[in-house]
Amino acid sequence: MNRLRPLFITIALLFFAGWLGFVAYSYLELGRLAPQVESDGSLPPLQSGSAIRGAKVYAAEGCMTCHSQQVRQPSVTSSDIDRNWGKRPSVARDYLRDQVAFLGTSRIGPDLSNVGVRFTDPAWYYRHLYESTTVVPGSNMPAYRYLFKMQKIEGQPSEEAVSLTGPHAPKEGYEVVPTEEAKDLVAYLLSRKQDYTLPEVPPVPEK
Amino acid sequence: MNPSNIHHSSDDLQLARDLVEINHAPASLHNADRNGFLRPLPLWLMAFSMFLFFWAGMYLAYNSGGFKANVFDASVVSWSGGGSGGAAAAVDMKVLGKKVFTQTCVICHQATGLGVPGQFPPLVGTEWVLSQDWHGDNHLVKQVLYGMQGPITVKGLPYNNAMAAWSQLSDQQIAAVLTYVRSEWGNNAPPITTEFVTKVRADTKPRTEAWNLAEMKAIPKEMCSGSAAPATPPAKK
Amino acid sequence: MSHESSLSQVQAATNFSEPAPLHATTRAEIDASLRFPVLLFFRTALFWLLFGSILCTMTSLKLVVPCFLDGINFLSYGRLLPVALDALLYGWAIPAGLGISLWMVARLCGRPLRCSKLLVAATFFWNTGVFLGSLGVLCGYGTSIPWLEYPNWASVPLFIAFLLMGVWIVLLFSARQPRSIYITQWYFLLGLCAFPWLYATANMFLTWGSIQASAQGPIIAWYSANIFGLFLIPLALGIIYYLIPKITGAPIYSYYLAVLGFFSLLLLAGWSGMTLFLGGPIPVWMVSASVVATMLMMIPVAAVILNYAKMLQGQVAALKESPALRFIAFGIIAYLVATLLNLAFAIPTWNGILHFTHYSNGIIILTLLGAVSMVFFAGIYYIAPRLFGFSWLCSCSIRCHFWLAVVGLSLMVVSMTLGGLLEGLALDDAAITWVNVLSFAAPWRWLNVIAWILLLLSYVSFVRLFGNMLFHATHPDQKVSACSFNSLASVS
Repeated sequence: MNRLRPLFITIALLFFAGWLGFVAYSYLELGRLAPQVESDGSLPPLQSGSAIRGAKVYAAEGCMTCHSQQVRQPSVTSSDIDRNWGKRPSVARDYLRDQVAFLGTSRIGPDLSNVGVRFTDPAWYYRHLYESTTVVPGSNMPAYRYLFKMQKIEGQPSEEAVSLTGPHAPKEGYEVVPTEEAKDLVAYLLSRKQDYTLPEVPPVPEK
Repeated sequence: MNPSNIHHSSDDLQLARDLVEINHAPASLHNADRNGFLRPLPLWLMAFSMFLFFWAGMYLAYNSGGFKANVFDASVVSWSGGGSGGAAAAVDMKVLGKKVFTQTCVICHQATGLGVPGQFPPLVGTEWVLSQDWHGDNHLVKQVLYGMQGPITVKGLPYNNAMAAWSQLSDQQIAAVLTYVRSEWGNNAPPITTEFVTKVRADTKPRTEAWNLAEMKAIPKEMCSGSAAPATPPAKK
Repeated sequence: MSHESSLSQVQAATNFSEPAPLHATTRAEIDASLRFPVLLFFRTALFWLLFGSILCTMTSLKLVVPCFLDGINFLSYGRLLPVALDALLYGWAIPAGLGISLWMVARLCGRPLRCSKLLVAATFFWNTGVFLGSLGVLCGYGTSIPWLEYPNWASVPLFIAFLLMGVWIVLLFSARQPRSIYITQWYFLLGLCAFPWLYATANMFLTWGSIQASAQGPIIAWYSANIFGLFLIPLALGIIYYLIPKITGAPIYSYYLAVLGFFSLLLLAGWSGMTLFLGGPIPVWMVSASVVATMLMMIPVAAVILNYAKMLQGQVAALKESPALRFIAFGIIAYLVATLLNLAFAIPTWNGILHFTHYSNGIIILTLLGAVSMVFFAGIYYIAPRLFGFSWLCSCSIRCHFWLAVVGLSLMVVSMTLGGLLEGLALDDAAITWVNVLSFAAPWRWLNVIAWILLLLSYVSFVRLFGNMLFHATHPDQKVSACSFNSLASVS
């Protein structure tokens, strides 16, 4: 092989083939998916502004390094559905309303694609974020205290105050309230629901 | 040039090779290896590659989902055959209950049902679970449906925590998990039926917030088995 | 006339079977022109190597002791880990690989470097990009897209820097002195063409956000597989093809194996990334294509490793005397093991168990710090004395570096794959609660901490050695010109 040009053209063509297959195809086929229109709205449901801001907090804190957001096909493994992480496998259209698909590649913590279905109480999330062991004993999630403010109770205690008991309770006369970031993050987590059906999802037989 | 004018470290032999730059292979190589340089590929590698490519074609043919962008499951071919179909098999409530328990309850109440002292109350032999004293089956179902908040007493010990609401579970799942809890770890109370959960849910329809102890106590006791029957004393064997 | 053409044919074959020979004065000229920019590449790369491995050690410790440095936002696990891995990739591996390939391309093309200011500027841009990116992630501007965590504005200096370096290499290529192209240059050409394409595509679609989230999965998988498969691994393979003949004197064993290895890699590597989301929300044909491509990757790997093994056959003495060759040998073994682990990961039912555990992270670490970095270390061991003008000062540091890295990496692979397997089996059984799965994984995660500490020590000993060399170079009485060094080489 003495000539540069044929070598360069071969490299370019073979590289281009993979690029066409995976990148261009994704852009053309998956990048133009439309929501499923139902009589009472479209699926997946639209997200609130707070949830969209929360996705940025989710990205900034790197939640994705420990939590995935995908329920795998039962033909590959049934454990995701057995663990109640979702009633059906995730498909591309489930991520349509997201800015970034935080699919995740590792599960140091549980999958979050349906966490909004599993836990519906914002107070639970606040306590979990502030000190995860108060709601899940033995949890190894770091405490995200910097998403909360410790403030002096003035007059009436705040309605948003996180209810904490035991060693993690604030000092007498003080209360822990979530910051805007924490509120957005919880709104985002509450929006993690794949509890609707889409035509491309085959039904999963109940066991 | 005299090689000694380069600075040598104490352990040259260790590095000797890397400092020498070989610019020509030894002359003997020119005849023997230079010819070998154009030797044909090993036969086994060719055969192995052929086999791999054949396998690749077969695999793709069976697992490509027809190269469609909306097929996500390799076994999709079998879906079109109507699936496993047939009448739904009767569900074993205790099996389903155990599944629901490990998925939802176990993080607080623990797999042993003993909870965490001072934080999460136990489920073993408690008046709440077995519907003793003023506690009825309806209280138990209501508590699971909408959660519980504030100070309570369980088996004589005080707890002050919050239990999450589980109204997102189906009536069957709630019935199953309660049936499981009431028959496990030595507990021995009659099962809770799906119909009873449906009834309680309908009774408390607009409610979303958690209960507290005073509210609970105000509700009259109701039992699942035998709609009008008075409280069946918990069987003790 | 016919005699002449047959002579040139022999010469062409010779030029392919081993790196082209150069006259000593040309070599000295090349080395002198490259001294500053290439050493600058190495210096910055080593800084980020230390930085990245310190952060990796911290994160591995945070995983088992969550309260370690807890509650400080810029030291939280989710921010530190991407910074650490990106520092190892963008800060260490890419500049080190580029520095080595610049030197080798210059040597292979027989041309000294013109306008090295361009390269120095490129290094400046590149490191600014890595620095700003890391700072951005630590301050909470990360994107959480695997390998593209840097905020999108940091991708601009990185891309500009790479284009500057690419332009320089293309110029060198076209002005090359020996007309034939050695196999090393094929691999370098592939890697250097692939990176701008990969990086531009991935950034355009992902961080600058012009594509729906539903289509992001395949592009994420494509980028994170190809940044290794089509960029760093080809660079490493090319470096091995250069160094083995130079150190042992053995020419390439088989021309056709080399050709097969190169083109089958080029054909297959680009299709092999989607196993990252096996069973996930991407069309199943893409996953199946990647399963097939990953299996077929056995062909290029077998071809290239067979070639290397035959070239290394019977070179026990050389292995003893050459640290560079030892690093290469370990790099080849790491490449083989990583390929086998990848194969197991691509089998769908196995993937169901192994996926999302430490197993897949283990493959990444083994590829980055084993297959790629060990070969890059070999390159630095070979090149740096030629640029400094004197040999490495202490062989004991080299031994330290090598054996600590070997033991550390082996421990890490065992802890991550075996631990990952057990973790996966526990995860697969829905009756085992999540918190109990943690207790299955914990002992292996502790082993991982130990492995990181060993690796960190290994890198510290190398950086110390390199630093001594830099310091040493300031003493004029011991400084020897590269010219005399090279003439020594051609004597032997």
